[in-house]
Amino acid sequence: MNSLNAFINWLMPNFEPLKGEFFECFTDTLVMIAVSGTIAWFLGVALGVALVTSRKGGIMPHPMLFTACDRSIDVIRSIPFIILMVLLIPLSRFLVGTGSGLAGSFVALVFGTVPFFARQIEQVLSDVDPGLVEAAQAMGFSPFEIVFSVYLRESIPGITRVTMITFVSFVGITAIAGAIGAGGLGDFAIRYGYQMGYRDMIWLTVAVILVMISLFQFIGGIIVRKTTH
Amino acid sequence: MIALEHVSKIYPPQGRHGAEVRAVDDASLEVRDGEIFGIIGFSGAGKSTLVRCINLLERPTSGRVLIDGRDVTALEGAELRAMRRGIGMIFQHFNLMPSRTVEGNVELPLAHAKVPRDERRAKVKKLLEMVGLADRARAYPSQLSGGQKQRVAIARALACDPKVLLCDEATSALDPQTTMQILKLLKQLNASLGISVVVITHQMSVVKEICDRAAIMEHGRITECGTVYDLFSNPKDPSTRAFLDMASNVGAFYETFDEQGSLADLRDGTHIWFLTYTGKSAGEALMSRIYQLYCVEANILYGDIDYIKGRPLGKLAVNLRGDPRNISLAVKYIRDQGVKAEMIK
Repeated sequence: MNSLNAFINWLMPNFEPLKGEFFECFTDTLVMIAVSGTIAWFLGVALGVALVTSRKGGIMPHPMLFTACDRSIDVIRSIPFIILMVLLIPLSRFLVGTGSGLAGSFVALVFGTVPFFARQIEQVLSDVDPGLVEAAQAMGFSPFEIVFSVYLRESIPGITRVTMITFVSFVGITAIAGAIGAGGLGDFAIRYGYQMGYRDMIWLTVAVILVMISLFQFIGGIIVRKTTH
Repeated sequence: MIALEHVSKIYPPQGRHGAEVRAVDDASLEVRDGEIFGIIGFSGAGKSTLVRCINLLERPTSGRVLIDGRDVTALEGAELRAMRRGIGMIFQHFNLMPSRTVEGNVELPLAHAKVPRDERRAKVKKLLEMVGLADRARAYPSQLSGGQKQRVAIARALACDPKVLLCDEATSALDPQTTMQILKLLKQLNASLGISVVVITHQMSVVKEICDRAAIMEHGRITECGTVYDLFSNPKDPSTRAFLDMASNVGAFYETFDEQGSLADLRDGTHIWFLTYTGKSAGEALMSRIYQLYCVEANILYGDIDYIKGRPLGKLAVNLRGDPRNISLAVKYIRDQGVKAEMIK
C-alpha cells in the first residue's frame, strides 16, 4: 500500500493535496453525464422519432410539426455551445432555478446535445427498410406500435452506435460547461492544469476521460454485437 | 368476398414539370371466397397499387372497396387496423423483421392482437409446422434462404386467421424451383384453409399454375378479367392478347416471322394460320387429317402446348399449301373440330 502511494506521488506530485477536489469534480462530471445525458438521450430519440414519423410519407405526416422540429434543430445546432450556454441562462433560471453551477449546466448540456443526437437518430430510423413499416401497417399495427416494434426495435444497433458517437462530443461539452462554472473535470483541468500549470493533473484528467469513453464504447460494442443478426 | 368498384388512384404531380400519375384507372374486380385470383401485367402497370387499395395501404382517390359487402374505403384508426388484421399480406422482399427470430416474427401480429402468451406459443408452433419450418423456429431471417423467408412471411400473414391473403410479387425474387414450392404451398393453404388468395405477378407461369381467375392490367386499367383458361385460350382485348403473346413463346415466333428470309417465306401466295386448340383436340393429328381429306399440306412453323391448371392449351402456326378452295374447306374442317383458326399473314 505504501509503495503504491509512493508510486502515485512520484508519478503525480500534485495529486495528494488535490485528491479530494479531484474526486468531487469527477463526481460532478458523472452527475452531468447521468442527468443531462439521460434527459438528452430520451429527448433526442423522441425528436428523431417525431421527425421520421411526421415527415412527408411518414406514418403520421404532419408538415407543421416536422417543419417546426426540423428548423429548430438547425437553428440550435448552428449556435456555438459556449455562446448557447450564456444564451440559455435565463431559461435555466426559469426551469431549474439557477443559471450557474452544476444544476445550471443541465439545460445547456441538453440543448447542446439534443439537436445533434436527434439528427443522427433521424438518420438511423430513416435507414429502416420501408418494407418493414409497410408490413407492420398491413398487419394492422397502430403508429405507436410501429414506432416501438419496428422503428426503434430494428434500430437498436444503429441507435447504440450514434449514442456512442454523441457521447464523445457530449463529454467534450461537459468540459466546456465546466470552464464557465459548472464544475467537473473540465473545470479541474482548467484551474490546475492550465492556470496553475500542473501537467500531471492534465494527464490525469485526460486518462480518466479516456477510460470513461473507452468503457462506454466497450459496452456499446457489446450491445451492437448482440443485437445485430 | 372482396370487390373493387371503379377504383382509381391518382398521384399528384411531383416537382415543377411533373404530371399527375394515374397508377390505377377505374379498376373494378371481384375476388370470390376461396378462389385464387391473379392480377397480372408488366412492371408499372399499377398492380401493386391496386392490391394495396384492398387493405388501404393506398387509399383510392375515387371508387369503393367492399369487403363482404361492407364499404371499407373510408375506415380510419382502430377500425381500419381491425380490417387489416383480417387480410394477410406477403411481399416480394419478404419484409421480415431482421432483429427477431422466425418465431418472433410469426408471434408479432399475435402479440399486438393481444392473444395470451400460451395460446400464442401454440399458434406459432402450428403455423410453422404448416409451412414446414418448425425446425427453424429459433433462426434469424438472415440465416434463411429466400424460399424459407417467404414461408415465414406466409406463416406470419396467416397468424391472425385472415380470410384473404394478398401476395405482392411473392415469388418474383425466388428461383423457379423455389417459386414452384411456394406456389404449391399457397395452393395447399387455399385448399385446406379455404382462404382466398390474391396473387400479383408479372410471371405468366405463376398465373397459369395456381390461379382460378385473373385480371390483366395495363397502364392502370384492367383490360380483361375472367377464368385463366379463357384468358389464355381466347383473349378478347387486343392489349391482353399482345401481353399474352409477348410473355409466351409466341412473341419470339412473331419476331422471327417479321425478319427477312425467315421460316415463313410467303412469296408463293400462301398464308400462315394460327390455330389455338383446347382440351382434347390434338393439333398435329389434325394436320395429317386435312392432308388426307383435302390434300392440304401444313408446314408447321411454331407449336406449343401450355398446361393451365392441368388443362392443355395448344398453339400452332402453320403455313397451309394446296388448292385455295381446299384450303378454305380445310380451315372450315379445323374450325368444326372446335379449334380456333385465324389467318395471321
